[in-house]
Amino acid sequence: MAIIVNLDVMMARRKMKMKDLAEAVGVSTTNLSLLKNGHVRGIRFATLEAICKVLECQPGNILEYREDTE
Amino acid sequence: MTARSLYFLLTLSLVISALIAVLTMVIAIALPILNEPLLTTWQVSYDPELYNSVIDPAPITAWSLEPSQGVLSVGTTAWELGVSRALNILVVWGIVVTIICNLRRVVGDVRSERPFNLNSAQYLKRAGYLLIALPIWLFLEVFIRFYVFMPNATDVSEFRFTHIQLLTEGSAGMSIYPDFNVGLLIAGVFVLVIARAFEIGIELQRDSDEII
Repeated sequence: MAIIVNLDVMMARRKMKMKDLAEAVGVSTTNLSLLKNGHVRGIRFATLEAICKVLECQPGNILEYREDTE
Repeated sequence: MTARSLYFLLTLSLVISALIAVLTMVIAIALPILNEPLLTTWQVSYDPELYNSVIDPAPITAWSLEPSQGVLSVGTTAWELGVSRALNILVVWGIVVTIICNLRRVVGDVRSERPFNLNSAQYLKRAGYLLIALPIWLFLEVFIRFYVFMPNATDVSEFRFTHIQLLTEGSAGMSIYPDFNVGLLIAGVFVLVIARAFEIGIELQRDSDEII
């Protein structure tokens, strides 16, 4: 997929564990793990907003566009 | 009506339908064995002005016409005909029971609050096709029953695809027109449309599940 999720990078920068982020955002650890590994079709603005608020970052820090070469 | 009460009602109707099917089949087989005549009837349309010429079915024995209601009836004690009647009951009630069973499964999925899955769409499709098949079978069954039950059926009648023309004295216009239940046909098509809506619902559910 051309959209890359860099959630793990931001979590590492903020030294935040998956469980803590999931609790702060209000989603399940399973769903957050699916998002981190890019196994979801989309993300709601409300979820993105909550993640950005907790990680103190911009949406662009979490989502990145890379041209699909395959 | 909640899904729970609908599920209960469908379970109840499933049990009642199965019991009716078994009972009527046993009666259909038992009556000829006990030497009790098994009565089978057809609705007959005829010209009332020519009625006198057909009231005496002398050349055709074993059948009678009820003057007030236009009903042609045959009584028989042959056990083979009892078995064929039981087979018809098995087909009709088998279809009814299968339809209820499929609808009950769909309601079971609705009860779990995740109705949009492949199984529900399949169950609805099956119920829809069976609802369409039922009036077609009931239409054809009138012809089949006539030629199975009526003594010398081919000698006393002519098959006309949409009806059976009875060959009577005085050429009175007596015909057997089978009823075609359009309501069941429309219900079947309606259920198939709902099945298609469920297939679209599966896609929407998948999208919704995969968006966080």
